[in-house]
Formats: sequence, structure tokens, C-alpha cells
Amino acid sequence: MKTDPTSLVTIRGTREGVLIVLGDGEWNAVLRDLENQLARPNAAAFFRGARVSVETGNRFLQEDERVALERVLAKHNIHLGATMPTVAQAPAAHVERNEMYTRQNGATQVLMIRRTVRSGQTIQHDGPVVVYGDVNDGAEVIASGDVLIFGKLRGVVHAGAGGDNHATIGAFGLNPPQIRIGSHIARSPEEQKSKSRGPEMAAVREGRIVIEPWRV
Amino acid sequence: MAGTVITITSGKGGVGKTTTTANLGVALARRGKRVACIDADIGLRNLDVILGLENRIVYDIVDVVEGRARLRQALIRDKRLPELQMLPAAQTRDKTAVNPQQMLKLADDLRAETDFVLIDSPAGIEHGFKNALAPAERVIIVTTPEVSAVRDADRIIGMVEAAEKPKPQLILNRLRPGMVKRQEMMSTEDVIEILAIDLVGIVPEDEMIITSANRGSPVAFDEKSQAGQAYGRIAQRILGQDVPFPVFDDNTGILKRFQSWFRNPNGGGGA
Ligand SMILES: Nc1ncnc2c1ncn2[C@@H]1O[C@H](COP(=O)(O)OP(=O)(O)OP(=O)(O)O)[C@@H](O)[C@H]1O
Ligand SMILES: [Mg+2]
Repeated sequence: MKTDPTSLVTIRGTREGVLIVLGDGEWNAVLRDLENQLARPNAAAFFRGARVSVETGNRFLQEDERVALERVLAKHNIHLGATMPTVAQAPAAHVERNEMYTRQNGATQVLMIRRTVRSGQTIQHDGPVVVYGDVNDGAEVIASGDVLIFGKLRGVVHAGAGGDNHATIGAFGLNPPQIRIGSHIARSPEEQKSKSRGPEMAAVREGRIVIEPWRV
Repeated sequence: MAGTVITITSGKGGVGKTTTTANLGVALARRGKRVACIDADIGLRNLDVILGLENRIVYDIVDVVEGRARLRQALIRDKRLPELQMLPAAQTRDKTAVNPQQMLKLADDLRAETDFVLIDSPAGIEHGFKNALAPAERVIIVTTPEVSAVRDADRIIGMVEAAEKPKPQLILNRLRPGMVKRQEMMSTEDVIEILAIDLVGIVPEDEMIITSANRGSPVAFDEKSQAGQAYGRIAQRILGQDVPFPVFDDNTGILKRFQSWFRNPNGGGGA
């Protein structure tokens, strides 16, 4: 489907179905733009039977925003599949290459990332995040659920970003400058930097973030 | 067959992009390849000086894209090495004077008549970098073994990946083995572990780079110095040869290595 390059919303086909990318801009303007595009004559045929994912741009969707989005889509008989976070710079490429996708687990959508999350990239997800790769210095992962990293953590992770203090962070080498869980923040003690101590996890115990060996 | 467009970039400034472009251009040309180097650092023209061609500039890249000169008129052929040509940047304009479409066209015209087009990218992640990246078929990331340079390199690699270019390759520049040994500098392994891309070359810190830059005669012209040899090996790897990575040492280190080697035959557990 052709999209006007000046529009706030991009719609495109991927191997997985249809991907709607919401650009930066005022939320209501974005929704209006989406409505306009869905109202085009060829839109219905394009979406028929497709799995639809939405990339939410630079925003972490609030509940009412999510409902509004679902309502716009439902008007055109489109069921909202996954909402994806944004990776800074052309996120769609990573989605199309299957390096980033969500997996349904009961009521939650787990975001799976199969690559290195690099400096300058921000991943936001409403749910747990699993990274098969490193999270490098200068990168940021913000999740409302747990964050599990099958690699080294050198960047900033905020687990339980919606306020869940029971969230945990696990990594095969926990070396971040700081850790956030729910409403807690902890900074790395300078001396311990860059020493590899094997798989570890961070959790809130008695009101503060502690790091302990990751036993599964 | 049309040539390959290779963009040399880094993120952080001053880590050796222009030095790398000039020396790889020379090293490839010395191996009989037709090479065109483009200085994409508009406003901060530099490559011409490193290559010693600054006195011969008549037209520049902006003259070409704006139609004041034909590509052939603007290209400067190196008299010492006729396989090597350079398209200079404009010194008086800024990076917005050229756009990515124009760079694509330019690179396309050049690759029709060469084996390699090397693009010297400006520092940063802005317009100039995007110009340099647009026509790239291969990307070489240059970094020094410093935390800030590696972090910027990581950022650039992410952008190269997002632009759906092939996985970039790494040149580690200004390595100082003595400092690595004393654990005052990141090692090659440290850098690769973070960046998770393939290494195509290691260039040691070498004063010859600076003196030769001042003379306008890149070290790769004679591959006698450590750095000159390093560029020769990188050129071979770019040409698809499997060249082992030597273990670098500072001068005292080389001596030490000989001593231990002489001791070895009698040894076998003595130490
Ligand atoms: N291996 C090396 N050994 C010693 N000096 C080096 C080496 N590599 C580069 N230099 C020196 O570092 C300085 C910066 O190099 P260069 O101009 O190639 O960097 P650059 O990345 O192109 O910079 P810019 O971002 O400003 O374009 C120069 O003075 C150069 O001579
Ligand atoms: Mg330069």
C-alpha cells in the first residue's frame, strides 16, 4: 500500500503480516492520520486476513491510548495483534528481519530481541523483554515486566517500568551503570565495574535493589 | 564489472577515518585495483592534504552535483599511482550542499569505471554521515580502543544495521600493545566483544602516520612501517585473501619475543 511520505503513519506489508508504524507527532493527529489511511478504498483488501502489528513510535502507550487505537482499528474490522516498541532509527528493519517480535504468553506479550541492542537505541515494551544478545553501554531497555538478557548487560535497564517492584532483571554478566526496578534506582559501585561474575539477577529485596547469582 | 562502494565511518571524530581512506586507497591501488576516493566531509576537506593532492584541486564534489563540472574534470589522478583518483570535498560549503540521492548517483557513475569507490565519511550521525552511508555496499567502522570511541562506533553500527546495509567490518586504529599489556587500554578482544562485528584490520599507533600525513604521502606507499604493513594486510583482506592477524608489540616487545623464542627449545616447562 502506498503511503504519503509526509504522513504520520506508515503502513506496510511484512513477512509476518501488516505493520503499522506510528510516527512522532501529537497522538490525536496520529490517530486521525491512521483513520484517513484506513478509509482509503484499497485499504480493506490490503488488511483482509492479515496479522496486524503496530509500532508505537516514541511512546509507551497508556491504557486509554491503547483503547483508542483498538477502536480505530476495530472500525475497519482490524484486530490489533501486537504493539511493538520503538527502536531508535528505522525500527521496522529489525522487525522485518525477524530480529524483534512479540510472543503471546497467556495475557502478556513477551518482546523477543535476537540481536545486540546498541548505543543510542531505546526499547520500550509493555510486558517482559527477552534479549538474546548484549545490551550495550548507551542503550536503554524499558519494560513494564521482567527483563532477561542472554548476554551481557552494559546499558540501562528499567524493569517494572509501570511501577512493578516485583520485576527482575537477569543477565549473563550484569555490568550496568545503573539499574531501575519499579520505583527503585541503584547505581553501580565503581570498583566492581567490568569484573565478570557469571549469570546474575537484580531484584528488590526489603526496599532496595540487590544483585544475586542467577539460579534458574 | 562495476566496482564496490566502501564507506569508511566512525561516529566519533578524529579516530582515523581519513587516514584509513587514504591508506586503503593507496594500498588497493598498489595492488593494481582502480580506486576512487571520495571526500564526503564537506566543509572540512582533508583527504586531499593527506594524499598530497591539494594543489591540484580545480573542481569539487559540490561543483559536480550542481552541474558546474563533469565528474571527469573534478577527479584528480595521483601521478605517483595512476590507479588512484580522488574527488575532493568542497571547503566553502556545508554538508547539506549534497543529498543522499546525489551521492548514490555519484557513486554509481564512479563504480562504473573503478574497482573500488572509498568514501571518507565525516564524523557524527547527521546529514554528512547519511550522505556517506547511502551508496555503501560495504561499511568499515574505524575506532580507537577508547571507551567513548567504541560507544560511538556501537551507535553507528546500530544505524548501519537499521539502514539495512550488510554487517559492517571493524578497523581498530591506534592500538598501543604496551598499554594493553599494562591494562591501561582496551584490548582487541575487549572491543570486538562489545561491538560484535568482524575485524578486518588492526593498525598500531605509529608516528610515521603523522609525519607521512604532513608530507602528503600515506604510509601505505611503501609498506615498510608497521602501519604501512597493516594497511597492506587490510587491502588483501578486502580483496578476499585470508591474512592472519599478527601480534603487535612495541619495539622493546619485539626484542623480548626473540629472547623468549630462543629460550624455548631447551625449555618445555622450565618457566
Ligand atoms: N595509527 C595512527 N597512529 C598515529 N596517529 C594516527 C593514527 N591514525 C590516525 N592518526 C592521527 O590522528 C589524527 C586524526 O586522524 P584522521 O584525520 O584520519 O581522523 P578522522 O577520523 O578522519 O577525523 P575527522 O573526524 O576530523 O574527519 C591525525 O592527526 C592522524 O595523523
Ligand atoms: Mg576525516
